Amino acid sequence: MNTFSSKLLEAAVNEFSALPGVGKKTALRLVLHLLKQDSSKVSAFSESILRLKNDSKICKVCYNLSDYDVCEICTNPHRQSDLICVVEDIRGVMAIENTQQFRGKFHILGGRISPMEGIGPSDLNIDSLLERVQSIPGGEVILALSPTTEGETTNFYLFKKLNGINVTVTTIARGVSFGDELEYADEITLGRSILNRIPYKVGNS
Amino acid sequence: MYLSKISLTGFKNYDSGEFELSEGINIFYGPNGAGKTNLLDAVHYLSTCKSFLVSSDILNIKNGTDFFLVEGWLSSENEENVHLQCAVKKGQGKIIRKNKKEYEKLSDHIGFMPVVVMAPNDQELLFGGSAERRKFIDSLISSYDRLYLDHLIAYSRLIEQRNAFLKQCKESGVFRGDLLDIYDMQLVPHADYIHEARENLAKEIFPLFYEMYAHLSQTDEMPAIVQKSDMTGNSDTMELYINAREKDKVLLYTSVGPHKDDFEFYLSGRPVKSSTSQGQQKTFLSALKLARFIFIKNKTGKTPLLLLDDIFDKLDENRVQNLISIVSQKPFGQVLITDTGKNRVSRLIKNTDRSFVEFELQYQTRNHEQSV
Repeated sequence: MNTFSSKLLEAAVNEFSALPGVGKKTALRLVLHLLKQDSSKVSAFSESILRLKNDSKICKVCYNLSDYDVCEICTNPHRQSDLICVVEDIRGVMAIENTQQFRGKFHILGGRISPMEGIGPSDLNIDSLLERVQSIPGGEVILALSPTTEGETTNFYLFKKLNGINVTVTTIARGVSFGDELEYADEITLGRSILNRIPYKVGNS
Repeated sequence: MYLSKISLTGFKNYDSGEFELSEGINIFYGPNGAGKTNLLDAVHYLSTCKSFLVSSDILNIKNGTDFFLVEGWLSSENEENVHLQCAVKKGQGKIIRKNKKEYEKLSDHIGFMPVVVMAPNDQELLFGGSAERRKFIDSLISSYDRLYLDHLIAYSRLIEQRNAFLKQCKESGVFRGDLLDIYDMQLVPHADYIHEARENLAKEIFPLFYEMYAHLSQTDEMPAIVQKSDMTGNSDTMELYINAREKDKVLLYTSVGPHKDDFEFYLSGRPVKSSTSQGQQKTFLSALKLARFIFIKNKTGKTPLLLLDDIFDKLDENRVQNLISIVSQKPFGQVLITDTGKNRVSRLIKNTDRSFVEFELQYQTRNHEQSV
């Protein structure tokens, strides 16, 4: 539908529009914006992407994205080693880190069990998790996967695998968001919150 | 609460149209292609945000335009009047507004103004696959049990994953029983909930249906509905899935569970589908729809709007008279009827003491560009 005056422009737009969530029009806007910038800025831009791809590493312990062989969370001596939070991907780590409430370490599964997308247990970092957990007897594993059918399946699978290892298995609480009016809470969440109610404690929320 | 006015713009064969409706019985007559059924479909849109005839919204937009708008005005004695709008625009999807305020989710609107439709395509319930009959049952349960739909969605998703998993096992040649355990254990609570809800529904709606059939037919024909489920008489659902595994491994899908439920229809011991007349089949389906009406009324306290499309379709005059006598009494409220003949329906209504209004619809040229 678009006719470009320049093949170079067309090539760049095609690359951008191949990114998730970016359409042709947005791609064109981004490319034209880059074209207007100083060469040094554009170099820095493309350099950062190349370096990301070539130099970034996957942490050997938790599979987080890192600049080193073992990530800064895993090597941090002030973090509890016997408290492992299991998440799907790096976005889970970032979300939980942003809360500043968690002082343990992470384990990134790399997805969740979903045969429809061709992902089975062997495609996930499960064996390494079990190995890690063996070394923290008496510790705790927090399952923090998205509350979807696939997340639940994965939770359940991990729970069964962790059974027999000397650790406590917990899962993140589900409930009504803080600051929400009750009448606007969706029914499944509210229903679960009523069923899984907790003893009142001052400052609980 | 009743629909006092409806207006259609760019909907099917209507450029624009407006009808002031009566609280009682409304009759729409006119030749084939005049837009009688389309008018009922517009009412259906206001209730359920979809058509009872066509699955694609876009196909309901009049040729040569790029959107349709259906508006309805609801009146009632002690509540405020309500204005409903349902709009579909090509490339922009569907919007439903109540008093000009847009709903965030279409599902929030469903149930606000319930309708029950009786139309020639009800035959699907009889001749279509078992999915049609489950859909009928499921939509009824969902009308009063909000959790039911969630269980149904979660259950279907798990079944999809389980089936994909079975195929994956076949392809890779490795059978992981541990993951199958996980799926089966997760299925159980949903399957139990769905089964129990369907059994409870059956207990309540079957007697209503038998009563309606007797009223409609005025004969000693004995209708019966039999619920067929793998779960019936099975106390351990987990075992049901485990026992089916060997078979499932070959079939590559889950062969047992409520997603395989069916309902069989009989008339005096004979299967309705194969050994009854078309009139008897229509009576059977009409009685089901009437039972649905009473059921919704009992459960929700709301009086659904009744849409009778092509009322003389396959029924003899006695049965049409019986149908009209039934729907012109309480608990039935507003009724919209279509027929091709001018005086056929009104003559029968005159035998009851119910008031009615008649609308004559003219054949409209569908494509104006051609007539230029």
